[in-house]
Amino acid sequence: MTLWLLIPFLLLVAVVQITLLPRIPVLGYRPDLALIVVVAQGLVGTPGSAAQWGFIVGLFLDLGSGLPFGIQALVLTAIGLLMDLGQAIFFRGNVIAPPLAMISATLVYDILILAILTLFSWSIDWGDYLLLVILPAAILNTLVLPLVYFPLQWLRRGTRPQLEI
Amino acid sequence: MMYAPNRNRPVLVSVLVVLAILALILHQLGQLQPLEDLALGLIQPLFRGALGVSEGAQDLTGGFADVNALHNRINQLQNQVNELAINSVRVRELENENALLRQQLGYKQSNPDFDLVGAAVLERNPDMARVVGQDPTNLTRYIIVDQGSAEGIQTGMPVATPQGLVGRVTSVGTHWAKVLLITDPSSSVNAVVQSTRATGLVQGVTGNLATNDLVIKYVPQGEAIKVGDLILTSGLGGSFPKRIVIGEATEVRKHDIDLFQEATIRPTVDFTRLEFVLILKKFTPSDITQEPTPTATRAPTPTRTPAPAP
Repeated sequence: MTLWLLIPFLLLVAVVQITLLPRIPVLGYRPDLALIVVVAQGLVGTPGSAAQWGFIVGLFLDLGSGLPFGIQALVLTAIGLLMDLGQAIFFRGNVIAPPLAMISATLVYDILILAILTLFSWSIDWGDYLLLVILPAAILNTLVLPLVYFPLQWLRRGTRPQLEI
Repeated sequence: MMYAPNRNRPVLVSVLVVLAILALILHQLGQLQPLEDLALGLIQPLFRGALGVSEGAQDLTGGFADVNALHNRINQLQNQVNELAINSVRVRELENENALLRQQLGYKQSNPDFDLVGAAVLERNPDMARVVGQDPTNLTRYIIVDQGSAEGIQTGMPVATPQGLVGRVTSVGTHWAKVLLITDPSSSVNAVVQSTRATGLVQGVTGNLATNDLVIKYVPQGEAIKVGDLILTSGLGGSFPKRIVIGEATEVRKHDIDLFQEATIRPTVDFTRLEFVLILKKFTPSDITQEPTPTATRAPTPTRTPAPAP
């Protein structure tokens, strides 16, 4: 996917996450769409591209986030990097890879954000966050993953060979 | 145009990580504000456009079954409960104010040489601000509103709706502001129990987005707080005006071995459906705890009976 398509696409993902998803929560949780897109790209995309997707969509999310600017970009780049590494070592062709990757990525994503906030002197109740927020969010993200994974896979197969996804 | 070829990707990823860390540091130093302002200003029209779609989606998802009708009915009843609760606050506050004015009148009569001037307790400048977005994570609770420094908004200003307290402004751009909701676990508001003037600290509770409950902590054991009591801002510290409704106590937890008791509060504001909010640009800081404690019994618990039709 060219940058000219990629940037509007990831901007759309961020806008949907900031405006649409908060209005239709599932059992009180909203899917982390940007994270799901980065994970799906790590699973089906060109090796090494997920980190770039994470950085771009993270910057857009930072604009709509009340957290210090740069946190989302940093954490999603890190997730993308981990996905790229995981793809090279483990993920490709593995049946349990997508759900495992999504659960792991959600845990790493939320824990990294909370760890950074702790550095900024936020008081974090880790137990409550893990049980009441992070684990249910990981399950929800895993359930939503196919809605992003298969279209991206289809898009990758349908794209001309000289263009990268 | 292609983006980074494979051989350059490790370098590129390193650069991206460094850029993200740099952005974080610059943000903390306040150097990134103009860029954030410009970027958010540019994409804000997209937020507004998406809002129309999201409102449609909200209607659509809620319109499939009878659950929707029940949901609406619950909302109507909840609104009536809120209105009644607010009315009871007003009545109660009028009673208190009446008692206070009588005291002041007596004070004036006993001090005829004083020149006393009445003053409004709270000066509100009700700029309606539209909520254009919410924090993208499940971890924190912020909203973005479409009023900024150009409209006179500043960091720290309280935000409310006619139903009650919403939060306070934490960052401001030219035409946008980010508001930390009182339901965020990192938020804390000095509060007072309306009926007894017992003071405490209201904080958000960690949980899913549907759990908008709050908790009032550090209420001394000797003070009375009961289920149904209304919790108001105390004005202590000057961050919020006094007498803004926060919510109603739904559960009180008291243990003999603890120094303090605490209670769960159901906020009067429906945080899942925030569309417009009021930003209080100017108010007179004062502390409700300095006022005389009401002598009457606690405020009547809002009844669940719908108001009679006019």
